[in-house]
Amino acid sequence: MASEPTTTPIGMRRPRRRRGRELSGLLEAQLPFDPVLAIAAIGLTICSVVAISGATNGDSAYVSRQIAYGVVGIGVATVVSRFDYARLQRYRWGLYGFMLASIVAVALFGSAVNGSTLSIDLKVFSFQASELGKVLVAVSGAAVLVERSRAVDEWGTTLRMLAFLGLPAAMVVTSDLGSGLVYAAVGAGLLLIGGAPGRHLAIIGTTALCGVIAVLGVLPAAGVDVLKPYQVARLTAFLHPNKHEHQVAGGIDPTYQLAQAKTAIGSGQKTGRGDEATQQKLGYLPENQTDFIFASVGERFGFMGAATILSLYALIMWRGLRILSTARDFFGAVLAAGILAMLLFEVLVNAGMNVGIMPITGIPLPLVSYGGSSVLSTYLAIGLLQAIYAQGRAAARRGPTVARPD
Amino acid sequence: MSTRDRRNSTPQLALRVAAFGIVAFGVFAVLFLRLWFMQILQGDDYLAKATENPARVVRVAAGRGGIIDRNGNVLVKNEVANVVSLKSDAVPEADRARVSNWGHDIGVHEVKVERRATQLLDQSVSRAVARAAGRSRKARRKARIPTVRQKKDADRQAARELAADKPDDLTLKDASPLLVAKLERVSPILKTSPQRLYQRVVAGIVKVPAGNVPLKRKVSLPVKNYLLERQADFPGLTVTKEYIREYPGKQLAAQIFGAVGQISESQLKQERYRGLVAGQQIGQGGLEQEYDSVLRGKDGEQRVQVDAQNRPTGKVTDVKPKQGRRLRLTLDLGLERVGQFGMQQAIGRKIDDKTKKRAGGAYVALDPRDGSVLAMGSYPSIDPNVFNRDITAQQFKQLTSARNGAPLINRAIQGLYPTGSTFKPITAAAGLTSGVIGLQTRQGTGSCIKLGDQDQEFCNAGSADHGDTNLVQALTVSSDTYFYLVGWNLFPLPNQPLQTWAHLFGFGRTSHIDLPGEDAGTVPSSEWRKQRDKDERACRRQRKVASCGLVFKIGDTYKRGDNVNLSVGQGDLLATPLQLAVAYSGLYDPTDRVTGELRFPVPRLGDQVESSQGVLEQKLPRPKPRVVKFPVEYKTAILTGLWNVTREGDGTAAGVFAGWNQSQYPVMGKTGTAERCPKTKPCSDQSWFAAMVPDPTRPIVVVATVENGGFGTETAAPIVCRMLRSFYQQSPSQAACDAKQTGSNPNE
Repeated sequence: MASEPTTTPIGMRRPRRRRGRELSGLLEAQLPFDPVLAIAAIGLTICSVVAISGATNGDSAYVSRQIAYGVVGIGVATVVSRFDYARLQRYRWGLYGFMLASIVAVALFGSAVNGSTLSIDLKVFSFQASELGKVLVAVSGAAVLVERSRAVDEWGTTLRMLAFLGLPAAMVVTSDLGSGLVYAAVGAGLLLIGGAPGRHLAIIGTTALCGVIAVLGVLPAAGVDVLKPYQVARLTAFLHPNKHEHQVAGGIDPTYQLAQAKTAIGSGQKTGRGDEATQQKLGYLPENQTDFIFASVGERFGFMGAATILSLYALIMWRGLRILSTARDFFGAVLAAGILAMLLFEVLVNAGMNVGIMPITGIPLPLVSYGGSSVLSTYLAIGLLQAIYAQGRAAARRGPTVARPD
Repeated sequence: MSTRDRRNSTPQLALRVAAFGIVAFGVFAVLFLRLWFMQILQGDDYLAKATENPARVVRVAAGRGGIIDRNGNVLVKNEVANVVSLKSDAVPEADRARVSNWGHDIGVHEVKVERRATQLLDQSVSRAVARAAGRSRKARRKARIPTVRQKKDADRQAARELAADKPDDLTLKDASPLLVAKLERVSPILKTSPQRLYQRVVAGIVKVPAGNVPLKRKVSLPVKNYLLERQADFPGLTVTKEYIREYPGKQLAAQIFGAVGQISESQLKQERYRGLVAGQQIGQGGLEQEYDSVLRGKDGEQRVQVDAQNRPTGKVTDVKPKQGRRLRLTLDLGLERVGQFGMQQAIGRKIDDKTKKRAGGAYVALDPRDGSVLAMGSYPSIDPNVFNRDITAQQFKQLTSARNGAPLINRAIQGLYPTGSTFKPITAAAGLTSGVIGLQTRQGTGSCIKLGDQDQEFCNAGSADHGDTNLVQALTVSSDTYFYLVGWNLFPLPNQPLQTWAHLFGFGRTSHIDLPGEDAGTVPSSEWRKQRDKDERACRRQRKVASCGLVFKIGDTYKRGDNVNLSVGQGDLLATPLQLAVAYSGLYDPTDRVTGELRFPVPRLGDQVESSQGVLEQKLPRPKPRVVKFPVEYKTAILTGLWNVTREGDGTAAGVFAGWNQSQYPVMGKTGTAERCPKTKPCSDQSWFAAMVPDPTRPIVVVATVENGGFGTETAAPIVCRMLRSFYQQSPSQAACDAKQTGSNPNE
């Protein structure tokens, strides 16, 4: 129940609990929760169901499954939010190991979709390890960082973090580039709030930028393909929207995809085309219930619909940053940062891809894109944010626990 | 920095949270601005793009209206067929070019073969003539006429001789790999070998160079569905519902209908085809073209949504096709059939000794009151249903070639011939009105007359001597000498009375029948002669040849002798059978009163427009007849003369009309025998007969001509007689209509 002393930073006291609660178990039903965050998340799920219903022409299989994922996800979030997240610090290596194992398991036993092996079919739903991995990376990464928070100024810590995150990222990057990038974003969020020195962040950022340029531009030109050519094409398509690529391995011309998505969004105008939304109805809009759900919403419901979804994300970010700054402990703050970085990055890349300013990656729009793994993982993350909020509020009610020496 | 307290975090952490917040704010700002830009500012552009994206109009061809005769017999009907074709843009450019070149080469080669075949036939005929030199006159005459067998041999030998020059037939090896792949893929489904499919591609390109290429007509429904469901596997292939024109009458009146074909590029620009789109089927030639707006109907428009794979997914809007309306003709199928049968009997597959090609003929029957065309036919004819089969380019060329008698030419309106003695009533009209002859003038003694300073000799046909005759007798016995004198005497008069009257009777001008492509013909005059010189000079300049053969000698004038030739419908007169029918229609008067007018009707085939269910929608307007003042007594004299032709013993067609019920159905007729070759190089004459029956309830004018038919009474008159017999339902036992029963004056 109490966090392990060794992982608690000096001066941070073990949170006190009411006696009665300690005996009742792991969950505390009386804890407060953030209603705004909850409403924003549930609102996004409702938006998702409406959007998928439109995008699939009311295909009940998609709609009902997405409703089921949402309900289960809300349940998961509710349970997780009643749970003292600090406990997770102790299991960081276990979680990390489970994450790596699940990635390996998917690679070995998973079923291939569109040429990439991303998921294991678990009968009820296909489990996508990399989605859950995003949350697990945030949790275990936060825990590892907090563990070394005294040496956070040192390169050692930063490099350790990089290695810690780099391993799963490297494992998924070949099959699921998007998830790898999300891991990197989570890492950036963790390092930023975890207190890595500014120059470290600057050097890492510069190196990453050089790496991207090298992988996408220089190395393919030199004949070394780090990524598959179709991946490069997808990533760079948004830079030249008018160039028509005729033959792309993998089938679909990414420039065409982008152009159709942009046409869909633009044609929605203020209030959307409703049932006249031909782009999605006639299959011009690819993957319109998953990767391009935002374009589908943009066409069907126009600026109003798309802006509503973005506003709900903005709401989540706002509440998330508030939760971060009112977290009970350092682990909570860093964990919240990792989760927020994950959500922000996913929204930026997915919505940005839909509006033609970001490359095509397989990153879903959290909570809105169709898909069980993504919805459940995101609700898991929302639940963790709620838990951080709950613990922070509970601690505040109890009064200061620490005399601040510094 | 060790512990963070929730309430007062360190300034550094606050700074970092703020940085995080700024990044987040930036992300949302960018996304919102981008959304605003795309949806609010540029929304219209994107919307336009989105709407044009799936808006693909699938035309639903409207059924073309049928054509029926005056009694409701079906002449042209539709059959729905699924046609698999290769879209025009799916034929690789290289193949298109290659086929076009080949089509050109083969055309050039065919002309060569034809020329050589004519030479060879000439030689074999002259050999036959030489062999017959010592034999009877009849045998000598017979030897001059080429037989079908000689013609076939000549054709074959010419083809053999020039076989080396013949461009190789295109085979699958000549096709580009892309096209071969396409054809091979679809071949098992259409159950047709790629080789055959390629031949059809060739035929299609030769026929309509820039159009869709039909690969197979009349495919079954399962095949159609199979192909439609797998359009992505068969790029460039379309399956369209097409209406195929069927002609239950087969060869009957085939030329008047014309064909239905894809609209051409130049037609698309025409005003009358406004609103049509490329690939649409319209009438090409004949009635199909003339009444296209009636028959065509209105294509339906299924604005079918197509998905990104270009497959129809569902209808957005559906404008039902409007079936074309039905056209009822004035034609009488029974009469048509009699005419056609007569032509077939008279001509068969005979070879014309002038052109060395299949001989032809034509017939026209008009209602003289309003110009209704009761029958119109051209021989040789062709069964237009063959074009619905997937015939090759060569088969098409061969079927429609001049050697095969150019069966697509409607000789009734496009065949230009001298009309021979059938022209004499016009000469009579000109002579009477100008005062050159009176009703009682008697002239023309002897078998020949000598005219002019050079004593140019003009003779009767067969050197017969009819004695001196008055006008009525001259028409009855068809005395050339009588009319030679009229022509001679008319020449010096002002205003060219003969040419003027020829024009008034409708020669040298189109009759404005409701068919495209009618020829105006020629009435020779001094102006015409000068124009001819001009044309010859222009032609020589243009083609840089010594002579185009339009005139015998440049600088010659229209001479008095030419006028003499014109007076009996010879010389440079060129007229169509229809023009002659219109001219004789002018002589019609209701029997109860003879008017002082000639009323020349404008011939019409279209009678009325009916809905597809047969409800009368519109009676097609009849143009007013052209009226020419003409004294009653002159007309009476001419009609009497013409009646005597079929009635009196010395009438030129009296034998043919022996036994005819003249009291009930008086036949005013005139035979004609037109010489087509110079005396030095004789060939068989062209046979003409024109007849007018002024029945009070069902008057009719019938004209028939047989290009190599000999005397008018030999072939043309029996055909006309049989048509009249059928029209008035007379029994064959009463009127045999037999040329063998010659009267006392078979000549002319």
